[in-house]
Amino acid sequence: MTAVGSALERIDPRRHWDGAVIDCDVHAAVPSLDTLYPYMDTVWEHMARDRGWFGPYGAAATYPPNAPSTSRPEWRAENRAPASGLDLLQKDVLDPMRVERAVVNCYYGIDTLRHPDWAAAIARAVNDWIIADWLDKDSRLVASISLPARDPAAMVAEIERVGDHPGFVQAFLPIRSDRLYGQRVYHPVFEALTRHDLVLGLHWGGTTEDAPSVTGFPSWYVERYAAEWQAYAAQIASLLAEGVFKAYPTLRVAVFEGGFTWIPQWGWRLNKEWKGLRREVPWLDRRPLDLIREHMRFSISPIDSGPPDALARIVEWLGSEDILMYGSDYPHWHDDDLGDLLPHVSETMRSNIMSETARAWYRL
Amino acid sequence: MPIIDADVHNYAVPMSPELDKYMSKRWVEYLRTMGIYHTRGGGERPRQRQYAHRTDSIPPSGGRPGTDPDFAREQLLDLYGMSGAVLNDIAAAALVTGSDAYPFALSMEIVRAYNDWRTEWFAADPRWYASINVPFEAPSEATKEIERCRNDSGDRFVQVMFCGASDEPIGRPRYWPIYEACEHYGIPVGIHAAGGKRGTPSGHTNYYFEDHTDFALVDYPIVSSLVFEGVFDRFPNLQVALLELGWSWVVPFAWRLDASWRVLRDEVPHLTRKPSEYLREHFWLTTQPMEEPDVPEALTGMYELLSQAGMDERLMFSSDYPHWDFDPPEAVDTMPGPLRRKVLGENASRLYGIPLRAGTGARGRA
Repeated sequence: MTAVGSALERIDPRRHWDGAVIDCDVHAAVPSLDTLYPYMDTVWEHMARDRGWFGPYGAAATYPPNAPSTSRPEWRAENRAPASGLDLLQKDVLDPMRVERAVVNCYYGIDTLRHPDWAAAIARAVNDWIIADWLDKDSRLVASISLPARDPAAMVAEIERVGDHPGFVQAFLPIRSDRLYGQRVYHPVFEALTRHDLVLGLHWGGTTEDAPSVTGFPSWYVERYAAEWQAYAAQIASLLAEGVFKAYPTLRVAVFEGGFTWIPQWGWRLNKEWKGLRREVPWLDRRPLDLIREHMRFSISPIDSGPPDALARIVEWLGSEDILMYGSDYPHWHDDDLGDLLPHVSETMRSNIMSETARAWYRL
Repeated sequence: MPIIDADVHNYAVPMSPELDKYMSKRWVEYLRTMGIYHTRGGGERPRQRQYAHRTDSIPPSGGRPGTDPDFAREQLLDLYGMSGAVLNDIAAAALVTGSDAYPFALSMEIVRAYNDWRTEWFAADPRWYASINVPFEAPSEATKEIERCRNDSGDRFVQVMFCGASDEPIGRPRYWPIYEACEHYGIPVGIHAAGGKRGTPSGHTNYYFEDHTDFALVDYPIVSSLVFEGVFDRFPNLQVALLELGWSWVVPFAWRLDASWRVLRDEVPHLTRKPSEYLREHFWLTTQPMEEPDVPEALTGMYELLSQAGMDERLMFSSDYPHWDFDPPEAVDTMPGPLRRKVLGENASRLYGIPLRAGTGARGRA
């Protein structure tokens, strides 16, 4: 693998922006299951040790540890997994990039584990570890609650347990699931989120029993990676079609690592289908793309840019200066350049992207 | 400006007079006894009309929309002065794969019956062309059917039909015999929107609205698979038409493919070019359902981006007759003249070898 350097300066905010920086997507990687044992009942430690089980495989499946996209080479530390400690995050991103606040997402792949109690215990442990080792140690940080994504009742219980901790501003779900998230079985989760004033995060990852693609199981990681818009678009269509924003009008959503350049044409398609077919979904009583603008925010990692003037038009067709949020997606590697995007939007939108949208969305 | 319609549906079903006459007594009786549903799995989302049809497309003789070649000619070929139309019957593909499965010999017979019925349309008007229905999950049988149809009807069969839902990603080697046959005959693979085994990566939808919207998601894994499996390195002359699967997504998706590849290219050293180059040189798109941006000037902008991406020579007008979201040729009136001419007929003429009839079709504008 070629790993000389990743042109880090292209996504370094200091090179492109003088103002405040809020990073809406940095990762904390659990160093090992051992790290979490202090935060869970001993029965789960015994379960794992007896079985020689070292943690869910989901994180490694969705971010293969040695794949280039999993970490920029500059962010790989000797003998430590990328992003596996607060000190690494501070050294690589928070301090040098002048980050005022950052939202920590810890995707540990809990969704691969089917045992409902065990999965819930691991989710609790991750959240308590995030509080102890991250939130309590750096006041710049806020975080997302990890949820046991297969079990709506357990998700609600965890939101009730930690949802009022001031450091948690969001709860996230992996973008792939066995059942689309808009469906009514998940609505108690949205009720709990809105009651605790938490953002719903939709994040790269997730384990499904059937293929993670409409057309079967992909052969290559890059094949799956490139086509992942299919997963994001389907979940968003589900939230809209099932009337989630009608039932929960205060629900805020943030979407990570899915890009955003696909949204204008997808929104137009949703609007057009809605025009002809809306009788079937009467609770969807506004144009879908308008609801996306109102209820959803998208991180700009990846940007997936084309020629900058073409990208600028797509951004214009998003139809909102509030819809994009800067995120480094530390430690993941996307071949982006903030210089493709920032000079081509208004000054207001630049400021919104780099800090103000996230500040408002997360009430920072 | 001459017009070719790249996507028309003449819709037959098993146990109908149109198909029964081409099937053996053994399987006609089987279907009468066992019906067509016993192999079906999965939930349903009733379409907004019984045949997802335009209400005025029921033929005067009765019967289902798209079963009467003369009525369809009146409503489509003659009304718009078309030079040709490509008949794509996704029902066959859905029946033998997708959400249904039949005894293998019955699947073969159903597919052949659809293709045989198609010859009645060829006889009814020289402007009808068609895709060959094949059992694409059985590639060796599929290539035999391609050969049979081309031998019987020559270049009236202009394409080989897949529906979007395949058992494996479509670029995988198991399907390569079909691509080899297409390359041999110089005809494209056409992949059409359809519901199938999997509605989305995260299970099935509850509503026809949601399902119909999500059909277009299949573009991403289809293109991704064909590109990253190296299908176009192996079959440099193969062309692929994406039918009723949208077109404006292609601009940002080309960027995404390249960006992904720039980071992960060591995984796929068998690729000899950038992904967007394969996209530009091997894929074709159809217009229906035509975009309706909420800011009308975005459409002009999107045409410009499409041209910049080199895809203006690959977009083909389609109507989707007789479905409810049918587009007449006027749907592309917002295109600037040169683009409109290419889209209305020239591009499809080049891909399918369908001659354009001078003096027919749409009027140019001053």
